[in-house]
Amino acid sequence: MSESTSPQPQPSYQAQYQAQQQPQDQPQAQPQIQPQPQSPESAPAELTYHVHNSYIWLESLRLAVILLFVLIVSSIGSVISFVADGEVDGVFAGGLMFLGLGFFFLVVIGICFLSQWLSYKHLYYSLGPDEFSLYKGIFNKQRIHVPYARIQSVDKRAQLLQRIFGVCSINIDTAGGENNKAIVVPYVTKAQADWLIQQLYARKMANTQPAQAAAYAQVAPSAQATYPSQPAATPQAASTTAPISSAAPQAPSPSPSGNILDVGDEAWNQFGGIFAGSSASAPFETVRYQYGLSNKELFLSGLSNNTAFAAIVISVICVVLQVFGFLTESFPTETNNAFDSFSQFAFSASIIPAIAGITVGIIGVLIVIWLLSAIGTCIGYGGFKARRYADRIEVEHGLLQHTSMSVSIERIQAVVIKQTFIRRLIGYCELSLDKVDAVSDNSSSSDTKNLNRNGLVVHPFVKRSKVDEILAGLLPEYSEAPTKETPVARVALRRGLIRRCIWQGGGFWLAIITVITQLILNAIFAPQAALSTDAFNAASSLLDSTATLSGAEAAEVMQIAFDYSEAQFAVWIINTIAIGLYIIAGILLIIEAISTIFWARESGFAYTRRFMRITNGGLSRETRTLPKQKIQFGFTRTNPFQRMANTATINISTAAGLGTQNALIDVEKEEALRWLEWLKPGT
Amino acid sequence: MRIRPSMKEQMMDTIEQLPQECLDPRVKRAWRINDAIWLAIIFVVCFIPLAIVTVSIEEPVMSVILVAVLILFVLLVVLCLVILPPIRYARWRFSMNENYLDIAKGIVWRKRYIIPFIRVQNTDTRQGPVLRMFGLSSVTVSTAAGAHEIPGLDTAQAAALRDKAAEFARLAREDV
Repeated sequence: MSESTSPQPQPSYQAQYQAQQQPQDQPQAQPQIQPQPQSPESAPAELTYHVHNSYIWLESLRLAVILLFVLIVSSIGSVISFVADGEVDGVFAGGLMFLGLGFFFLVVIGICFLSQWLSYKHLYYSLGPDEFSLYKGIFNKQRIHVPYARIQSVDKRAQLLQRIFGVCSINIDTAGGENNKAIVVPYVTKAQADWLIQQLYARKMANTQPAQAAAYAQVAPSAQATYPSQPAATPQAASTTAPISSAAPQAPSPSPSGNILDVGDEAWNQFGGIFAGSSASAPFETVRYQYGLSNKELFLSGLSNNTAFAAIVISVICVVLQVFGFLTESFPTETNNAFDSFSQFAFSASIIPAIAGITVGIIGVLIVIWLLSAIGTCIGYGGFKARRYADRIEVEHGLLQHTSMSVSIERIQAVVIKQTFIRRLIGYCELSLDKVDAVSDNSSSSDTKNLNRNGLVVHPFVKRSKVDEILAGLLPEYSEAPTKETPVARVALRRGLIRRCIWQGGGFWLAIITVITQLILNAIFAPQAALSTDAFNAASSLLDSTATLSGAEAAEVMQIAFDYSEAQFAVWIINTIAIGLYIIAGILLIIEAISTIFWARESGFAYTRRFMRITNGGLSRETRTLPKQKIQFGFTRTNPFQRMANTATINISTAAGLGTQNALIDVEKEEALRWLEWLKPGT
Repeated sequence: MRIRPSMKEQMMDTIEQLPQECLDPRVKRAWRINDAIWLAIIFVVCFIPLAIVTVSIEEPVMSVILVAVLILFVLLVVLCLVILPPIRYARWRFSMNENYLDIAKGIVWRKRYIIPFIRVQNTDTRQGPVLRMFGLSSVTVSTAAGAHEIPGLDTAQAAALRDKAAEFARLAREDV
């Protein structure tokens, strides 16, 4: 392939110097490893850094693979036809076409390569005194500036291919919201990425809390000194950071036993990738608390994911329908001759096992899907690590596609404890943090999105009783969160049953729709069935009275019998399907009712001086703890029925945006008003 | 179903203490004109084509439908222009002190908002053509989670309110 001749990995990080003044508040001395015309004291310049050169050829490689695939798929038909023809002309033409395609392929890849090379030339970033700047674009020059203080979180992501080569992308989130897209610095080496993340956080701290940044300033220079060294300088870098990294393992960890996938992850880290660079993510700051997942936690988190619940519901419905099928078979209700023969045909001994087989098959497929999704989840959480640094929490996971995400403490909007139905049964939950999220420009993959859709997951599977312990280590700021909850009003159960089982009840509406459809279809088919019954009776009496029939008469009788059984069969099948749907509706209704009863029993809210907590129960339960500081505004809402029942809905809005459910329906009115008083600052 | 509010409910109402400030009374007229414009647009878009169709195909069923739609429309006009504005006006209350903005509104779904000034990011005044006709403005208070509008205030009053809100927001921020 043409890519194999791509430029050799040159020493990257070619620094360009700009004649820009560097203000005095930048604590670090500039590195002196690069040959510089001027001494560091004279005119400290702002360094600009290029991303790694794999940006050029790895991206082209990816395109090449995709293009090759498309070409092969699209040309496979014509190739086969040429081969099938087998003539000399055909073979010649085929070869010609092949050459043409190959040429086309090379040209396209060349263009890709060229454009990547050009955009690589124009893609660089710099760390200014107050802001991070990214320059990109060949024709449309784009300069993105992010003040350090505005940085919300810095994430590191690597796809499989990127991981093999030891490069990754960095996403920088700013203020958040739909309009502020994350800034992506693509294709930087791991060492460069780690360095950049450290730098961004250190400078952010220096800009926002100068007092606390003193500790950083001590550590940061050594960090930067190791950075621009080329990969060849590994021993030197390692020796610089060794004293600090040796301090890291002393961080307390609640589950020191890792899991088997961690071994794989370790291997990845050891291997690092081809261009991973020097320091293998040597921590420049002290880790205050860290933990991973144990084997049990990892596998159970995979097995108890959402697919499991869906699989259970579907198999329950399958089994119930199957049992119903057996019942109708064992108690035949029709006495009519022709229908009997038909139902015998329909439920003949060969059909019942077939239905049973289908059911078993469906359940089998569900189990396979479930296992596959469990394996997917396990791989997604492979190498899971959560760490608490001084001012931020960092979470990394992913065996094949590695993601490392971090969020500063002051950006956390809420702590969420989520229990799905199955996890609830075994007493486990998922722990995540709400943060202000930005939509990333080229968000890597659906998998990463899935894992992070609901905030930043800091523990995918933890025993409910251990949550407090973990939070105490990870987020001691939330230690004074309230515990004693005010339950919802007593009338909430009745109102909840009406709301969830009727107005929003899937089972109820399914039953209604089925009733209507069944009535309409019966109205269409039943008269036909009745008519053909008369005709059939007449025909059979005719059959009894006369001994012999002419051919035409026999055909007519046959036709009548056929019409009769057809109309009967239509009515029968409609009613059977309807009964099946009623059963499904009944199951749904029961599930909804149980869920509502649970909801009414365990939902509630609580608040202390600085924190507030809302629990919404049900088959799955979600508890959300949020600091008062993060409440942007709150409101109560009542509809006329609630006013009659003396209840109100309380709502909280945080900056974490839409999709987060911060409401609690049917709180006692007095409690709601008291809560409003609490919401008012300065009282 | 209870028709009269119970003792407890009456007591709660006194505890609830809705905010005291009302909007400018002229806003009722502004709402009416606004609604009238929308209703007129709906009328032009929906009713007139229906009328044309009815006249052209001369089917008795269509004229019945037309009359029904017309009655519905008249009811809608009465509801929007006569009944709702005074109730909406009466239900719309707000109050402001140096710490928070308190808004109560809604007829069927009654809402009560508390917006701390510490979280307020910016405050603006806005004025559409209808509001300008009456010399009114609206004040918008935005937080990171959404904006709240106080719709109809005298322009001078709105400017004063906006300045006050901005001042409070600034002071609250410095406090933290």
